Amino acid sequence: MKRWYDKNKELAKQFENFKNMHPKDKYTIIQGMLDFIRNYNPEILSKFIVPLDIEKWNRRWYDNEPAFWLFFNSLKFADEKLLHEVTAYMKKEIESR
Amino acid sequence: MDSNKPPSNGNEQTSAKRLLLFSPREQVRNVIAIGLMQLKYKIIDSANPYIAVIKVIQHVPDLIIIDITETEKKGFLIVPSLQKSIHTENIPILLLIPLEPAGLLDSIKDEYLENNSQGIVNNLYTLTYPFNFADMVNKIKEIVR
Repeated sequence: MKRWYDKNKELAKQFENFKNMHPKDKYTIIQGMLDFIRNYNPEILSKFIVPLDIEKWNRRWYDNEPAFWLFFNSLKFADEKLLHEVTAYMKKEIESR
Repeated sequence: MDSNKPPSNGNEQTSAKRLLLFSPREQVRNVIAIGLMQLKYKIIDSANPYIAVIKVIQHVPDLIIIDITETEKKGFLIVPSLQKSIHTENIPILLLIPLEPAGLLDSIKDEYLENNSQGIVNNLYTLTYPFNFADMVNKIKEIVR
């Protein structure tokens, strides 16, 4: 199944790298990535819908981790410039671990 | 923005509003809390209405957010509990409730409020599921400005 970020191969690669990191490293860098989005455009972090049946979300690996979920869902609303900058930031952070 | 620099958090924390978030549903608490924390709100959360009341008394938040569903409505007990104290009676409350079934809020009021206290529920606001998180944030800003 195609995901929204599959058309951006470098971003998809960084997401996959992030997914495979040790949890202690994931937790360390996720807030930096959320800060990155907020500093670019804080409104992006509020562009999600809260449904009544929110507890049924468990299809994707990040659905049960709210910070990850917020990060991935917010990026759906990012422009190309932000996606490019986030990709570079993720690459640098992940490679430094 | 220079992608090689870690982002700055700024110093917005100093004027952060305190919000108490009650929900028996972990996913609701987590998603709403993480979203509001990114916007620099201070979040105190609780999954138990009795503990929520204690936390309100201890922390005196600027707003209380209560998640209500048709099957999880005990959180409404927080409302009359706080109305009975002069220290907490004026704290605004935002109820998150489902759109359906119609009349749910009235039936919950009938169930949990004493008959003669129906009219003294002050500062009670509602937001119906499903909602856009940005709308929730705007509502919070209106209530606690």
